[in-house]
Amino acid sequence: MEFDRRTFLHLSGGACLPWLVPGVEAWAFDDPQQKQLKVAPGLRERTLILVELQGGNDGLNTVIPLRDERYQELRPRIGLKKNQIIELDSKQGMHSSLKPLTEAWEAEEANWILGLGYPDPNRSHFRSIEIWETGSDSDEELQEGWLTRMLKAQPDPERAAEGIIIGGGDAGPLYGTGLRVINMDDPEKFSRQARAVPEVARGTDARKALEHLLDVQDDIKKAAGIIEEKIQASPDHGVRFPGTRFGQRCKIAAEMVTSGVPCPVIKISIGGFDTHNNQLNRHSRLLTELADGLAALRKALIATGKWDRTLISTYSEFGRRARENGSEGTDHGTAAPHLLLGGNIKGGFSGRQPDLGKLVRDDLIHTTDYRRLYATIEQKWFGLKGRSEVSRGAKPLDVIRRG
Amino acid sequence: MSPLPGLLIIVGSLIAVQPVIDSPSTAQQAKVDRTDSPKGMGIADARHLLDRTCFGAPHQTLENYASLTRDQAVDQLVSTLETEAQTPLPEWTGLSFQEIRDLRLEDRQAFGRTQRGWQQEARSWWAQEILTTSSPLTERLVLMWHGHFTSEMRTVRSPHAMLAQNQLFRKNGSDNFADLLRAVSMDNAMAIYLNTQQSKKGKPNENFARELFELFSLGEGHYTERDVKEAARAFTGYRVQGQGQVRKVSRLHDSSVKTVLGKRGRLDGLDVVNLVLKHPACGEWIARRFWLEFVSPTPDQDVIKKWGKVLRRSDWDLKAFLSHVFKSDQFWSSEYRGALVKSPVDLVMGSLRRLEISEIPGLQLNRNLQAMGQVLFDPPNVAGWPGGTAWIDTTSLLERRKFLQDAVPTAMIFSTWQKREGSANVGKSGMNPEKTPEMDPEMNPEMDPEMSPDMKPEMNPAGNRATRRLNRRQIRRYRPVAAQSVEKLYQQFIDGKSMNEEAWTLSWLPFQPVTDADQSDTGFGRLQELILDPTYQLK
Repeated sequence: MEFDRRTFLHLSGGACLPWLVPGVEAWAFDDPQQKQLKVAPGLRERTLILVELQGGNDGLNTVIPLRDERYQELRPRIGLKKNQIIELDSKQGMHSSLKPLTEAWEAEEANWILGLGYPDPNRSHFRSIEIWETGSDSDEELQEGWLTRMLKAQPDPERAAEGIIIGGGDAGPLYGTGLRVINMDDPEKFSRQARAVPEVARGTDARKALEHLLDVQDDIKKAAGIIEEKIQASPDHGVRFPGTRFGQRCKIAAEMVTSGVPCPVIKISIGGFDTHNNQLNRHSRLLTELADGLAALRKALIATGKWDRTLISTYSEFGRRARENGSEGTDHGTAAPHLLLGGNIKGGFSGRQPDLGKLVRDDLIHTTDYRRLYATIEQKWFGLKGRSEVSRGAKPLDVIRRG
Repeated sequence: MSPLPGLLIIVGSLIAVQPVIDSPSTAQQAKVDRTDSPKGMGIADARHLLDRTCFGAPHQTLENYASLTRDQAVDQLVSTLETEAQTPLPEWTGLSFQEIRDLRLEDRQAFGRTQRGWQQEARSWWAQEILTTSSPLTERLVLMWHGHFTSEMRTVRSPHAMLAQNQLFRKNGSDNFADLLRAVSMDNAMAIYLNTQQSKKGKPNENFARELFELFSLGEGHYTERDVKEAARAFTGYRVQGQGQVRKVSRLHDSSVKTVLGKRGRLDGLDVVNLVLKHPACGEWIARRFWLEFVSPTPDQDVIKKWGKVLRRSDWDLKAFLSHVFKSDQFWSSEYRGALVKSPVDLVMGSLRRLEISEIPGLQLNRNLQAMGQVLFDPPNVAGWPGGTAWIDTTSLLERRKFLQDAVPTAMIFSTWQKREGSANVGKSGMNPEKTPEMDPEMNPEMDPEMSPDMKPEMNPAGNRATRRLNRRQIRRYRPVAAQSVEKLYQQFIDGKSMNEEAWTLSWLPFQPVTDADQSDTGFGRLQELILDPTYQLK
């Protein structure tokens, strides 16, 4: 008999109707509660692009205090000279390799949050990135990423996915169950893989494990379908991205946003910041790669009118030791500045630079709890009420123009 | 991870798959779960048993087991358990505590690098043992205990301590649970991992005491906060020494009177473990672990209660208990066939073992495992791998499929090449590992060496540092040969006396495929269809 399971379901009762209405997705009728689903408009309209600086970026050579002599005392060999610093205001300058970002700075679309960190800092790469990505206290282990906790309560079946990880690395702040996170090197390859995933008709008696597997397959195919469709109609931004690895990741991130792939979070990463030795050249190269990529991303998003709805934020497991080490490098440290970019960002500085006169074992004391960044993203950027408590009571920063 | 994108010979045929007409018919199911016959249990049962207990098995082994009855098969498995690994341990395991300390003092940074190298080698060593052991059930149990009595290498750091713990699981893991629990409580790696090492009189650390009750032996609800606090005092003063086990340092140990689980006395750590073993909840907790590990993700409380009694009455005899579990109706029940999700180790090792591939060309087993979410010696946290459906998400499922699409054929071609050319040729001209054009850029992650040692190219599991790879010409040449050998294998079943189409399918899958897995004309193609069917992810 020419009779598959889906046909059977069609005929088996009133539930068949939705399938007959063109353009109506079956999911909407699976669960009556989902019909009234309200998605925060911020999550629908806005995108967060997270940039992980892997290895622990040296914050003190990224945003440099200009009027503090102790800077050169702590870093006689790797301290940046005047000509290696771009003055941002009377007190602070940034590494000259970040020059491609001056345009954003002058347009007041860049905000440096100074001295981000947490009490009782952990100096292990593994543990400290885990703290940053779960949003936990130093002595606390959480099993889910901070964005997982934030987004889990905000399902939206129209999304391609909750998060897209570009260019490898783990889900990080999107770790944990309950989210659809796509890991892709490039959209075409992803579509190809997804197309190879077989379409399977669903039975009602399937085992739970099989059911779950087929659900995940559906998620993959759905994400790939949406991405493919959107990308085909992608507007031309006309920007040439740098050929570096990070530049190419930015290019794909741009493609996702400009083509309007519905997905609240994109994560890209750039590795190599663990500069224990010969830091000057390495760090300069890394910051150039970072700035070139982000500048191109900005241009592409401006060209396609998406810049106002995009927030780019860097993060890293820690900053580096204030005092240089014996191999012209720096060891694992604590607090560091991080950069927010976007058309809706208030330019300038937030918080204050840690005091170089008050070091703990040559390390900086953080001045801003890193969860203020999360509170900002959750409440000011995405417009959520903050029920997920990722902020842990920390106050949002005043860095978003239109909340 | 996809050194041979051109190899996706078959995938095309999977795109236009039609919905399955029906699930396995009752007639088919009856055949699958037919009761044990004196003539032998058949290939479907053999696959079920060996997939769940042995990381799969080569075809010949499956056939051998198929001719045994279920009871005979279980007896054979249990009687061949080992207490020692067969793969020689890495050389550095011979270093003494003193020698390692000297190395560290000499140059801390250099030692850090060396140690990270050792950690990788430890992972490769275990991966190789799992792949090639003659008693895979032994390794299956080692992995189970590793996930139960968790320690993480990234916290413990010392690969020596982690390997010693791994040996402990092998030595005690299939013998007597009481001995195992005592040994684990006194294990060096465990003492470092759960902070017994820092716990002293007046300043007890509760970490180990809490996990001993909550995760290792009783489960929540069978002890009080006070039990944890008092037991923590009993575990003060134990310090890591030399190799293997901690020793009790009396001046650091709190020898005052404590009350734990209702017993009063000057209890020390071992006393607490012995009290735990007397607690009725302990047998059930361990029975539950076996149920989840070998039967189904949904505990059947009645059966688990009975199993707990069996375990305690046998005086914690694990071999007897294993036999009991593997011979139980629940283990063989059709209700639970394919109810478990293969772990990454199951999937990767199982596929390679099934295809009899023991040496892998720069395939980097551990990188594959990591991409799928399982790093040997590094479970995500003290509760171990959550397992079950948690293994499958959008990312890991694509990684699993990538492995089956690319890595399996690559490994088969390499294996064929090796059989023909012999391993003597490895590393000779045409095999320049540095500059082979096929070098996939993904194989060289820019990851910081400090950051994620797991992402760095590791030595291949055979213990040779050179990353071996075939060049394009060799691949072209050996692909058809590899395909031929599968073809032969396949034809043998189809034309041979013992196998028909359905038996062939059920020698790979727990039940009928949900895709049309019979589209290809070649054995190689049919094989790819089977292993890419979603049901191949289950056991």
